[in-house]
Amino acid sequence: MSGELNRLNSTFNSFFNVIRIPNTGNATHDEETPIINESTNNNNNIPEMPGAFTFPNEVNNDINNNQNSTPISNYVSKFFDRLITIFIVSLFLIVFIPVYVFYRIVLYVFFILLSILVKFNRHGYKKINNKHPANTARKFIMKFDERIGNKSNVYSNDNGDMIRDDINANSGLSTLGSENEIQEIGRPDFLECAYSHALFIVKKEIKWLLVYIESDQNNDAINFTNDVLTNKEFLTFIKDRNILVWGNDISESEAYQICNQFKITKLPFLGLFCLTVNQTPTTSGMRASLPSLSLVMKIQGYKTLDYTLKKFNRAFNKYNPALVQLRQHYTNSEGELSSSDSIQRAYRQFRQNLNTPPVIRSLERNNNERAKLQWLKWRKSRLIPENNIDGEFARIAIRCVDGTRKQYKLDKHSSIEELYALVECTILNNIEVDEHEQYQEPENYSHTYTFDLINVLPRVVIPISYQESIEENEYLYPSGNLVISIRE
Amino acid sequence: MTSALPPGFKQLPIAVWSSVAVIATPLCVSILNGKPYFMLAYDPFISKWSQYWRFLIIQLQFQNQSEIALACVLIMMKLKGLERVLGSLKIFKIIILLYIYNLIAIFLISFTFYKVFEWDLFIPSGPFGILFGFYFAYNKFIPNIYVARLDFSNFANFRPFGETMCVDINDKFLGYLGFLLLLIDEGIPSFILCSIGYFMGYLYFHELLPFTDSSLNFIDPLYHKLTKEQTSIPIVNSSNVTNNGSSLSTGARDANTNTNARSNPNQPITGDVDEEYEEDDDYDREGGSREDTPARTLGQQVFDTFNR
Repeated sequence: MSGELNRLNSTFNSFFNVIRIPNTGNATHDEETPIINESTNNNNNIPEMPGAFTFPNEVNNDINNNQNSTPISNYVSKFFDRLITIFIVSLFLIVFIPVYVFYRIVLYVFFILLSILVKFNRHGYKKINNKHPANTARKFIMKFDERIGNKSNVYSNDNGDMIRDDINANSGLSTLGSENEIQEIGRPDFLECAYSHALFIVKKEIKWLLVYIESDQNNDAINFTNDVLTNKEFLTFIKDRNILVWGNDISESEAYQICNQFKITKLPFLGLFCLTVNQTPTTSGMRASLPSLSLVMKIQGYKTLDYTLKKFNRAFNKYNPALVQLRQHYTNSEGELSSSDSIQRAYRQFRQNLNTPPVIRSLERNNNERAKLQWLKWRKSRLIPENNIDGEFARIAIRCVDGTRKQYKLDKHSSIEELYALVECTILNNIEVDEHEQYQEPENYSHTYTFDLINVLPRVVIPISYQESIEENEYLYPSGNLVISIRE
Repeated sequence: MTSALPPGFKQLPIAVWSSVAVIATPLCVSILNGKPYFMLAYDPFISKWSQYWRFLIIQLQFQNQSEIALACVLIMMKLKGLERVLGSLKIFKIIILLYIYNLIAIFLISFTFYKVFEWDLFIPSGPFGILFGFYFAYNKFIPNIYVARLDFSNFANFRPFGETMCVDINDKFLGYLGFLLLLIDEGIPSFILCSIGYFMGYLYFHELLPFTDSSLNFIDPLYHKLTKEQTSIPIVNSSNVTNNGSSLSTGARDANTNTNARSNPNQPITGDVDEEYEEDDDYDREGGSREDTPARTLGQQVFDTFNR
């Protein structure tokens, strides 16, 4: 280690000597310098070449030579040493300071440009974040409806937010007349949710999922929609097999990523998804993997109805047996779990009711149920029948708890409670009444609705009201799109 | 899910032709010593020698290697996604229309600059205008997948216009960079040409120009005829090989697939597959994942987030 340090020290000294010698030579001993170099070369047999180091013995020789030199030459050599040092430092400053100044200028210019950019593009990030996937799915459905001829009073503004056409809805001039003329064209019942949510539903309920992605700029999408998607045969196929459908436009980032993931190079795209189990043969028999949701069939570009259905049928027949087995297995395991849960629940109920006499308990329960049934029959018998007179009804679509969709034409003058009663008596409790019988309202019974009707867009709960008529509610008249939400 | 386009050019004929044309045309022109024909300035080519045909061919090829490389990268990495969105036939028509509109615009600009400003504008050779017309469409129709926010608030002590110093960079950043290089590649002339192209793209995709792709419907039968011929050729070949069973390997493959089909009911049964269904079975052979959310390694996730 010390040897290395000595070597470095001597190298450094020799570097300065090499710089100094020609200067001193030029200043004092012009003829001596080549002699010294020549002598050292001769002594050590080192060829004179650029970058060659002088070794310690050379330095000693130099020191001896210097000791032999005069005081004037020593002074001159020191002077040149300082001069060289000043020169090197100045060189560093000359190079470094401009670079530093340039760096600062660039930095300031960058920040000025950045500030201008930020000033003009302040909302860019928020704009992207505000695009909720469920909202884009609804927007797609709305556009799809418009294209095939179904009318909607919900539209989106430039920011992609869904807005109701309140002017037309309130005036009731333009919409009513035209709305009645337009027949609702059948289309796949698209899920109003994000793609990931659709996958979650399909996995949870072990169902089939059909993903449809199109581009509104592509003419094939229009032809495919007219020839295949709105075709009754295709719709029946989907409905019969209980296939869920999710759709979107490729201009939305979610759909774009799906296309990239499944290597879709041509639109429109139809993909059929279901849970599949891969079986691999092993020495101990077939080993089944965990079920995973997979794309089992895809159609790219415009295809005829026959081709599409043929392909669908083929994929469905191939994968459905495995799916049915999975569903069966899931139902059994869930049944076992729920039975154990119900036993525990019953046991807890039993413990709680130990203090109450059983006869009183059963009487109370029976009386309450009887009164409720009586009330339901009475209420259903008093329901206002559907109104088909133009301009006198509100068209209300209700999505049921099981996912089905029902449409009613309710008298616009009837109260909102009438709508709740309709849902309670016909959808949630399918009560049968005899037309010729007169039903009485049960005494000492006050019926409470255990559900809410929620408007889809914007998401607003329609409050129960005996005074407010349907016509007065902007979300119900002239048309409404509601969802039933059971209270916990 | 990923923001990267599917690799290759499957079912993207226009992207293939464009890429080949961008490379092959300059190569042929160079071999045939035809580069001087692709120079254009109003004086002397038009004013003295009346060589109007130069306007017709000026957009056919790039003269510089860097421009060729940039155009190829942009087509292969970014613009081929537009073919998926717009459709092959439509994009073919748009290329033709943008070519014509840019041709007219270049002529008018060149003429105006020379006569009004007395500036003999050198027109660089290449489809700058067409590419920048599609740049507008790229911005309009291709969605942003992610946005990365670079926050300089703590770093910057010089804030001339406000407190927030954040820059949003999205996944199109690399595409923008490519277009920027193309924009400044030939200096002011390329900047002018690209601006004209972008403006033409804006007008076209806002339907403000008199002729759109629907005006070129007469070429539809020809296009369909051409594409049908091309798609039918490989199917016929593959079916011949399979049906004849001429090679030993084909027979062995059939035997294997039948065995697998018996042992595994979920395996695709190839025996009764129509020719039409071949495209989906290719999907498995390519190693594409059918799962909805294939597992990604941490490295892949980082790569997807920042590098694509």
